[in-house]
Amino acid sequence: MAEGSVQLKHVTKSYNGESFAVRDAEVTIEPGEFFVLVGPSGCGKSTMLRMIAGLEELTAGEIYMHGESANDTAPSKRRLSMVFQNYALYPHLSVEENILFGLKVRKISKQEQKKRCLEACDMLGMTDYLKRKPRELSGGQRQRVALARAVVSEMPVCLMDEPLSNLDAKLRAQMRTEIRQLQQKLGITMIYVTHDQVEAMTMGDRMMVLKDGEVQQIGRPLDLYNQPANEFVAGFIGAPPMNLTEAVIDGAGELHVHGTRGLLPDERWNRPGKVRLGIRPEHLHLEPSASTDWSLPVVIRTEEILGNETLLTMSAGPDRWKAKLPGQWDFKQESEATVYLNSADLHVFHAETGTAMPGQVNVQMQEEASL
Amino acid sequence: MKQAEELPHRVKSVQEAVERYRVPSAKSVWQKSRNYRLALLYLLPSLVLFGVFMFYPMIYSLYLSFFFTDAQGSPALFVGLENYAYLWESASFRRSVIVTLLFVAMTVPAGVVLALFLALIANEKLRGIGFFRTIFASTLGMSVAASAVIWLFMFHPTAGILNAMLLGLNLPALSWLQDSTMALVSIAITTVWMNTGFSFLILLGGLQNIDEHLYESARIDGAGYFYQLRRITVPMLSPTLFFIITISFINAFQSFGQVDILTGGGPAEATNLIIYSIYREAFIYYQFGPASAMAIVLFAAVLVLTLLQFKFGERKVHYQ
Amino acid sequence: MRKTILYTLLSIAALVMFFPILYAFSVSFMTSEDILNRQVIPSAPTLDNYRGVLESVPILHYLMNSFIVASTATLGMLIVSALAAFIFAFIPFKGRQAVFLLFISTLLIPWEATMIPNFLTIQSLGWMNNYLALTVPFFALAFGTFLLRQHFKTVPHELYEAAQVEGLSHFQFFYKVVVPYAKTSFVTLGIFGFLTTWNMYLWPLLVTTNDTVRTVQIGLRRLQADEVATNWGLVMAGVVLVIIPTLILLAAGQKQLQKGLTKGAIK
Ligand SMILES: Nc1ncnc2c1ncn2[C@@H]1O[C@H](COP(=O)(O)OP(=O)(O)OP(=O)(O)O)[C@@H](O)[C@H]1O
Ligand SMILES: [Mg+2]
Repeated sequence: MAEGSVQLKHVTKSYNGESFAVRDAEVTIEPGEFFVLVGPSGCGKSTMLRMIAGLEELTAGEIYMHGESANDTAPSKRRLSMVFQNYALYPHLSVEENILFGLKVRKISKQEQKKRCLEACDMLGMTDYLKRKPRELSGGQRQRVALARAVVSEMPVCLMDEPLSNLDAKLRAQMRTEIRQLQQKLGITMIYVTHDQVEAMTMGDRMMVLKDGEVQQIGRPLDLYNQPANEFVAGFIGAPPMNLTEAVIDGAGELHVHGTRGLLPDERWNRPGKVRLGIRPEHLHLEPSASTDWSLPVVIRTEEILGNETLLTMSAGPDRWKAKLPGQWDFKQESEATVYLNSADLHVFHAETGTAMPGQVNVQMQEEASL
Repeated sequence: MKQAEELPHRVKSVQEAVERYRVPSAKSVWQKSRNYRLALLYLLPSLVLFGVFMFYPMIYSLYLSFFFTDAQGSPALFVGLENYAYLWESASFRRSVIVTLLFVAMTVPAGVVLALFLALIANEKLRGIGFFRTIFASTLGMSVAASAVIWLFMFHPTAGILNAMLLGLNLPALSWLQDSTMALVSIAITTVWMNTGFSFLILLGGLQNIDEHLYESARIDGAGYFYQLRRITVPMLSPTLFFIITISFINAFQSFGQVDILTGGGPAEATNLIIYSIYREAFIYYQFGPASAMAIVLFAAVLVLTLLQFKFGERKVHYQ
Repeated sequence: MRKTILYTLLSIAALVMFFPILYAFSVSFMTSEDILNRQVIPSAPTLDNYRGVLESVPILHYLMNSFIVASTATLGMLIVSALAAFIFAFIPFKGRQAVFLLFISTLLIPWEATMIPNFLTIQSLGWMNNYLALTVPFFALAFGTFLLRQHFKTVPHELYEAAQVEGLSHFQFFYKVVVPYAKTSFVTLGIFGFLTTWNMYLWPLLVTTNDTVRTVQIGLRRLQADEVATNWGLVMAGVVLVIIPTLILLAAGQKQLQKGLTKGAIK
């Protein structure tokens, strides 16, 4: 397989021989792809990244880099660069020396070193502080130095472990685009760890959601949003998270929720029994439209008006739901209301396992809606 | 729309994962043992030196203590515990033990209290405090030989400045080093003075590690200086104090140079500390067997004392 | 008020603590009449004592010896301790904890228990009256290893991993990253090591029998034994020559020493 590809086969890691830090992970990352590992704290993202880097040994399974088995390859022979959360800059070296450190070790010619350094600094706009020491730089500047170090190495694969978590919100948004552009310009494979689902959604070509060391789902960000494979992914991706509730399917193909009834949108779901039902906050409406086929009584509890949208918290039967409405709304607290929804927007999960039932989900792309 | 990828079958336990998917490493034994080789290489100098100059002599001392030795110091005749029995009966050795214990009792508490006092007054934020700190630490730079020679002159019965001061105060002159009770006190004074620099420096460092906020909140509560000293400073400083006390003990047992220069163990063996009698037995009389027995006894005593300190002292120590 | 009390205490304490040293300086410039009259300050300062001491004993030679011994021992101590500390801080292997405990256990073995066999070892190695005897036994130091390890552990693990990714060998990582990073701890241990080896007394007394490698501490003892009845001023001049290098070193490195030692002692 081509240069820049990374393949994980049954990759498993256990630190203590009992519990999994990473459990049987399978994925193929294509050359030039921006691949995001995302999940809550402690789910094994860093462990997986460090196994790819060769900093951690595998308990079982195999990793292929550039098409070849890399289990026994030293980190420095895997032809990858890595950017760390705290940047890992050498405090006693100047910015320039930091950037060129790896090249010196690899005995790249002086000329070439200079050329690459200039290019990288141009690209990242940091020619001015080459002579400074890391402690004389701001967080954002240090971040750039760390990036430059990866850039000059010209390795086909780059690994990043939460590189933006030490920056403030505004700088983070800016660096997100910069990193994405950089990756596209260089055409390298990027494997990027984050616990922030916004980063995952906006930066990745594809993403992998992890929980307790287990791969939950792999796919393009929008596919994961529209078709979460299980309740965890449904709850993890999207803000506010998807509303979930208990429901029962009867023998007649009808769905019972909070004492109301609706028709099942997909025949394949027609198996009598308990299920869990999910609906995204933006799919709850307060006025009926042509496509709505269901209504539920709710009580409005709180509201947050954000300017361009309004977040409502409401009691629907025994559950707390959130609704996201475009524009500004004003409700009296504790007032009764009716929410309308389209049953095609529903997600149905197995009551026990939490996995999504296969079935049609109504995907409304923006273009379609505006037509 | 493309369906989300199906989840593959998952292994149930780590064991199952290892059985099914473990890829045996192709690394040779040579590659796998890399860390061991590296560790051995880097630790080798230390291990060899410790072996030759610490562990081997420790064992050899024990071995020698069961022998009479010839003039070259080689073991000549196995005598079992006879050397120990000889020590047990020797009035001179018993005297040494008592003198050593007295010496420890004189130097350790006095030294620690003095160093603590100096550290406390030098821990204030005042103009020129750096100068005082350097002065208090200065004895760390004083060698035993130099210190002992200076004090020898100060203790001099007629030319010495100490007696001159006493006379100036209309007090009787003392025979600092000639009197058998006074001599040990004089050596203790010299020792405390010499060791103060080190203890001071460590204690000052310990004091400066205490969080300022503790004092600030205490002051807000209206606590006085001595209350703060008792309730904050000493407890927070206890690990450092504990370290200094242990070091002071060990130093007291190893005080050799000052005895050698000031009194040579006299008068009438009144300052014949164990370490000094070991030296005399071994390197003046060439009795390596009994000397080794003494060394072993001293080692055991120090070991027991240190362990006791850890057992009882550690409990009173607050670690942050 | 509080300040006045403090300054008074500080001044008195400083005077008492520093008096012996000042007094030694003072006496070294005195004439023999001043000494006989028990003066505190020389009435007519003179350099005769210094001239005398330089003529009567090879004090410069002793100083040179001490300098060679202390620097070599310190350098060796730094290298050997640093190598061991590097392993304990960065290279994991089964049984590392046990080896570390073995190192620490040497702290419990006092000099006096090992002195006799060590003397015999030095004799049989033919190292009597040789710099080797005064330096090599002090290269391995548990305290130094421990101190450096504590400092090495403050090197962020990310730096170690970055070095691995960039392809540094362990030795390159050691001298290009760890050593510069923990520079200050080397200064601390260096000062400490220099002071202690410069001030060694019992061991040089045992392993030197003539002037070739004899250190200045033993020289001082001989000077004192030879001159004491006749000339205290001369002896004090010798003392001053011996203490000046270490006092300067101490004054220069006091802050550093205090910070570094505290860390090694209790953290
Ligand atoms: N060196 C280690 N020894 C033992 N357990 C470890 C080690 N490193 C990680 N773990 C455990 O493995 C699990 C996964 O850790 P990992 O660092 O991969 O999480 P993470 O997803 O990167 O979390 P975070 O977002 O907080 O960085 C955790 O439960 C952690 O406690
Ligand atoms: Mg992590």
